[in-house]
This record gives sequence, structure tokens and C-alpha cells, in this order.
Amino acid sequence: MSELARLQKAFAEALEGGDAPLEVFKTAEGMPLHLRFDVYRNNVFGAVARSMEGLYPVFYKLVGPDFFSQCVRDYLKTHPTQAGDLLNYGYDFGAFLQSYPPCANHLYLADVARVEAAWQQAYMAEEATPLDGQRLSEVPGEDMADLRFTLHPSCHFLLTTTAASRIWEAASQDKMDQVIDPKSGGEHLLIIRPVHEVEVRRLNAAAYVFLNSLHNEESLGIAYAAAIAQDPEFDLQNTLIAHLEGQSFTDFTRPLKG
Amino acid sequence: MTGSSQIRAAQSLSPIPIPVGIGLKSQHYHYILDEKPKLGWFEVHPENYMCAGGPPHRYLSAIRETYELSLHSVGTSLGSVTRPDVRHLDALKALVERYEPFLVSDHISWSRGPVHYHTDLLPLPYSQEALDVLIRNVGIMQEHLGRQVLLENPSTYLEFARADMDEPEFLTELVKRAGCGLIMDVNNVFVCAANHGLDTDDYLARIPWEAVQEIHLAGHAVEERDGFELRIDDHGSHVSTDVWALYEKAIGHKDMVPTLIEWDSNIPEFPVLMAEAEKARAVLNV
Repeated sequence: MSELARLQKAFAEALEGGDAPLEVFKTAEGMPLHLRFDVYRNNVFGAVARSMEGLYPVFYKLVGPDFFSQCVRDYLKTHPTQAGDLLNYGYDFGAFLQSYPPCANHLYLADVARVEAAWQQAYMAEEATPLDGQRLSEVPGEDMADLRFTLHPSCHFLLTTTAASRIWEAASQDKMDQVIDPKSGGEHLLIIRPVHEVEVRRLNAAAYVFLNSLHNEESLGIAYAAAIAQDPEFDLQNTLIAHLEGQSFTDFTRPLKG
Repeated sequence: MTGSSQIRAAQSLSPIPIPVGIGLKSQHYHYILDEKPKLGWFEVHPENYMCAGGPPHRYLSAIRETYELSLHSVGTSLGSVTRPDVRHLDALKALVERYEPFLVSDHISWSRGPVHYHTDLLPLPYSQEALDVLIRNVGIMQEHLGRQVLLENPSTYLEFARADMDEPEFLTELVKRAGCGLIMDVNNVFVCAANHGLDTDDYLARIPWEAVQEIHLAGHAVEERDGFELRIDDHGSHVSTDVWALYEKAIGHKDMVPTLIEWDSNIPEFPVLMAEAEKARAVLNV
């Protein structure tokens, strides 16, 4: 191993909790070397912490700066940064929090983090032109069941065990005095950015199954059957209209003839 | 077209009408688009735009319609013994093609260790080996992007015991052999000189000014621990009086270098940055 490779290895290991390789540095007047090395430790952690604060502003608001900082420190130990940018770092923080003992009695915290991760991914997702509903009215009735829809590339489906999206909504609007029982839902969420604004939509269970099936490239007929199995009262027409108006779709394909 | 004539062609693009720019922050998107402040250009970290779509690109595209742009990377890790990550260079190239910046740059530093990344601008020893590695990696980056890049002198808090040259010698060899340009960060010169007991006049007299195509100005902090002081390059305050004085000396070495105001933490309202830019314009006398 070359001298530079040895030096970078020792430096990197010290940033991840090892001892600073003080022997490789020039003796300095003024501040001692170990305190100077701490600047780099602080910078590296600070960059990740700021990035995570930007990604999880509501979680940060709910738990406060000290607890947040500890969560990120523990997360970073098992989730080291793997790229030259932080834009794609930290999206599985919610999954980490689900089994993070200090959050064990507050399951909604992990759910809120999952909502925020999906929000950020939707925010940065590819652009797409919404489907013109007029095209659908030109499809002959007998072909409808075989249509396959494309959902907007920003869409994320999320199941929570708590009332996470309502807590997220209240906290992000600074309505922190609102009383929400975290155990008041189980939510079926579609998080999507049809044009400029990210929307967190609470769906009923059947609509969730229906849209998620379409997203998984099932035909309209199969998706409808799945939704009916969930809820015999499922209203196909109104759900389709709502999501055409809500710009959830970008395209559909018709079955090949013959 | 040969590599070097391509590089010259890229340099001759986009004359800058007003040679002072500001580091673009998302907090200021609306102000800039509404007020159209009188500035030549903005600089962004491409790492903040390595996403498929959404508002970041929408705002940056709208700003690019009025202003020139410089892409100042913090993530290619050109000082690492490992070669640059091709995925990162591809993402950077896509942004270069999309936004047609007049300058593309990164730092004399490293962040990619043998196993993971460490998100900071970590210091390089000024050894022959580090110089060779940096020149190889700058070559890979310039080849990948098909254009010249600039490298910025770092702020450092430690020096290495084993060195074959000092920073001005390192910069001189780097530009000669890699064919890259330089960003002269005057605040970094001041911070390093204070932290390592160096002479800023001697430094400015010995760097290869012909390669300097951009100057950076920013604020720094003074950190006190155990009764000792260290200057920290945190871009979180006004450019200090000392750094303005050093900037005037720098402009004495090379006039009319595009100059950037950077402010990345404790970010103030845009007019505060604009006032710093006006001070730089006064020094440049434009």
C-alpha cells in the first residue's frame, strides 16, 4: 500500500471512531493536534446532520435538536455515506427508527420519517405530463378492463400503523397544539408531485389497493377486482375521475388486438 | 477538435458582463427571480442538483435564463488514491450539458476513503505522490467532461509532517502538469496562514496567477478551545476586514478575476450578500 493510501485509510478510520493518526501531522504551535483533528470529525458529522435535518424537518421538530443529533449519530454508524453527494442519503432512516430502541414507545416517529422520505423523493422525482382524461373517453367499453395505466413517476405508496400523516401535517403547519392520537389510524398514503407541489393523499384501503395494483402494472380489471375484494362498496368511476383530476396518471396503454 | 483546443473553446464561451457572482442558496430563489439583482453570475454545488427533476431544477433553469452559472463541485474527491467515481462524473457531466456553465471546479482535497465517503474537504499532504494522484484524477475529470476544470486551494486545520513542497509549489506543478485552472480562495489563504503561521504576502507572490480564473471570498469563524484559537472556514458571516485587505492585494497580482461571495451557514437575506458583492465590485473598480 502506498504512503498516501495508508494515510487516507488511517484518516478515514479515525473519522469513523478510531484514534487520530497524530504521528502523520506536523507539530503545530497553538491548538494541539488532537483538537485540530476534531474539526474534521465535526465537519463530517455536521454535513450529514444538516443534510438529515433538511430531509426530516418535521421529525426534527418533534424530537428536538439533541435527540435528533443522537439518532443521526447512531444511524451514521450503521449507514456510512457511499457517494460524493448527500442528496440520495438517508432515505431508510424510517426503517432504522422502527427498530431503534429509544423510539420503541413512539412508533409514529418512524412513520413520520417515512412520510418525509417519500415527500422528499417525490419532490425530486422526474417530471411527467399528466394524462389527458379526454383520451380515456375514446376507449371502447369492451377494452376498458384490459387498460394498463402509468402512474406519475413521483408517486410513492406508504402504509403506516399510526396517524403519521396527520401528525406530519399538523407539525409542518406549526399546529403543534393540535391533539392527535397516534393510534387513531393506520393510514393508506399516496405521496405524489403531479406538477410543482408534493401532495400527501390519504386514501381509503380499497382505493390504495386499486392504485397500487395499477402501479404494479396490473390491468384495470385486475386492479378493480383487488379493490372489490378489499371493499365491495368500492366506487370505480369516482376513484378514476378523482385521480384523473388529481393528475395521478401520465399514460395508459390499450391491449393489442388479436 | 483536439483536447486542448476544446478546452480553450470552452473557456472562450460566455463572457461575464459583471465579474462578481454569489453562491446560490435555495432560500433566495424567489427573491432572485422577482428582483433580478444586477449580478453577473451564480455558483452552485452540482451535488445539490443531482436529482431527476422537481423544483430545484425548475428554479435553477429559470435563473440560468438570466444569469451565467458556475458549477463548483464538492464531491469528485480528486485527491483520493482511488480513481474518481464514474457515476459521480456522469451526474456532473449531465449537469454541465444541461446548464452550460462558464466554469466547472472542485477542490484540492479528498472525501472518498478506502471504504466510505466522508463528507468534507479533507486535507492532502503536499507530497510528490499526492501531486501525481491529483494530476491523474484531474486528467480523468477533464477528459470525462471534455473541458478544463478549476481547482480551489483548501482551508486546512492540520499540516502533514512529510511534505516534498509547500502549497504554492504544489499549485504551480499542478497547473503545469494537469492543464487545469485555479480558484484562489482568499479566505482560505488567510485561514491557513493563521492556522499554520504562514506569510500571506509570500504566498500571493508565489502562486501561478496566470492559471487563476476565479476568486472566492467568504467569512470564517474563530473557534476557541482550551484557550487556543483556530480559524474555521464556515462561510457563515461577513468577509472579514483582513480578508478584504488580502483581496485587494490579490487583485494587485491579477486584475478582473471573476469573484464569488460565498455564504453557506447562518444564511442572511439576499441584500446582505448583494452588499458584499458591491464591495467586491468596488475593489475591482467596475
